[in-house]
Amino acid sequence: MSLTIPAEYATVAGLIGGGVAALFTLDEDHLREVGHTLGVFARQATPSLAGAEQAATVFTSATSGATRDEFAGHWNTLASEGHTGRLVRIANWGSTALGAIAQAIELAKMGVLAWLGWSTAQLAIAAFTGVGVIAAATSALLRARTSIGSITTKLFTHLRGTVAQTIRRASDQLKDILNKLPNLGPKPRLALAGHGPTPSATPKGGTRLSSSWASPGKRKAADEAMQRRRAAQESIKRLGKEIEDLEQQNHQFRQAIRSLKREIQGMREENAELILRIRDPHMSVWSAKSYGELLDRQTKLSQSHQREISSLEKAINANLVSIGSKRIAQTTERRNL
Amino acid sequence: MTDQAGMSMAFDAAQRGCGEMTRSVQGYAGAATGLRTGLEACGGGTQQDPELVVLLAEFTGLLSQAADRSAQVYAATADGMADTVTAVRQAEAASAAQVDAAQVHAKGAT
Repeated sequence: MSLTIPAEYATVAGLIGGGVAALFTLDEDHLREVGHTLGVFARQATPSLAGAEQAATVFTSATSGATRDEFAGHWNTLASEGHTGRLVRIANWGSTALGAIAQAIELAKMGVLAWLGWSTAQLAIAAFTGVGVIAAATSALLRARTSIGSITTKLFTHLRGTVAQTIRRASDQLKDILNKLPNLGPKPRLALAGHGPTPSATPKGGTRLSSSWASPGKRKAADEAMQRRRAAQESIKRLGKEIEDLEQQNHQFRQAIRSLKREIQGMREENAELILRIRDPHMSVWSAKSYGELLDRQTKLSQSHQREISSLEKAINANLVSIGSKRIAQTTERRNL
Repeated sequence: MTDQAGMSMAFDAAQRGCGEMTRSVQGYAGAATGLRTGLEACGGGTQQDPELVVLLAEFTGLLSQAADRSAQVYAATADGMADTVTAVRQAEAASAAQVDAAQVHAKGAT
């Protein structure tokens, strides 16, 4: 359940104002649920995509001539792991990102609650001990307002800046994928260049299955050569786009790494401050406990950021390998031109 | 290996590829449906930050739409493969029937 402002802190929250109300309108549990849903999709889709890729390879090796060319053309441009693989990677990224955003919101809320608790205690002390302490309570409230302001400003700057931009970029990539996938409507039928099978055609003998899927009768050698050239051109273009996408993705991964490193650095500084506060002998047990929990959370978040950085670095390396193999494939295809 | 044996092996492989594609497509379609229903179940939560609400709604909407669209493309591919295998099987049967008819005709002539 998302953290909310307890009733006993409501008065102080009202006095402090600032971004407290806005912060508590954020629902971190909702973000976690959405992230979890995306993660489940990515985990379920991955083996199916691998199976489809394998099936396409088996089918391609079992067919020949125009059938194979038509199928390979369709597979490479529409159905191959390329677009859908990107889609699943985005879902995976979304799952991790939303989980991290939810954690950041929760941490901010915990920090604010710790300050609200402390301020409520200061006001209660002032109410019992008399006018002399009111000045100290007011000063405490002002300190709490500054600190809470800093927490909420930092969070909202992060949400409106890096997070919003990254989600927008992911949405742009999804739009690009949707533009490339054909809109088949609710009941899709043959998608292979609009050609249906011709049952009357007799398959020829040989070591490969040869049907007349794409066109009746034999094609002339010149037509085939032209088709090969066109396929090679399309393949080079597609590979180029895929390389571009991977480079773009690596760029985003590097940006994400830089942002995570900055956050880790920020948390280190905050942790040092928290440790000092915890060691303060005047700190109440409750506040020290809250700070301790906050410290523990921040330490865990730093560790999770560190893991994310190393997985992003691995993804960058995998992309670099993939870019290399695609460049080799481009060179091979150029020989067919 | 005779042409007929080679043909049969290739046909089996195509049929196997087709079956595997159908299973994979069903798995992927299930994942896409799960995504859509899962996101519907999540709803908007109690999220009230307008910018975040809009960003999330667009992102998850596009993701769900793209997953459904790609599931359709995969389904169409599996259909195309199945139709091809069926067409070749029918053509083989028709070819065999022609050969039989020719043999009966030849016997009748002698």
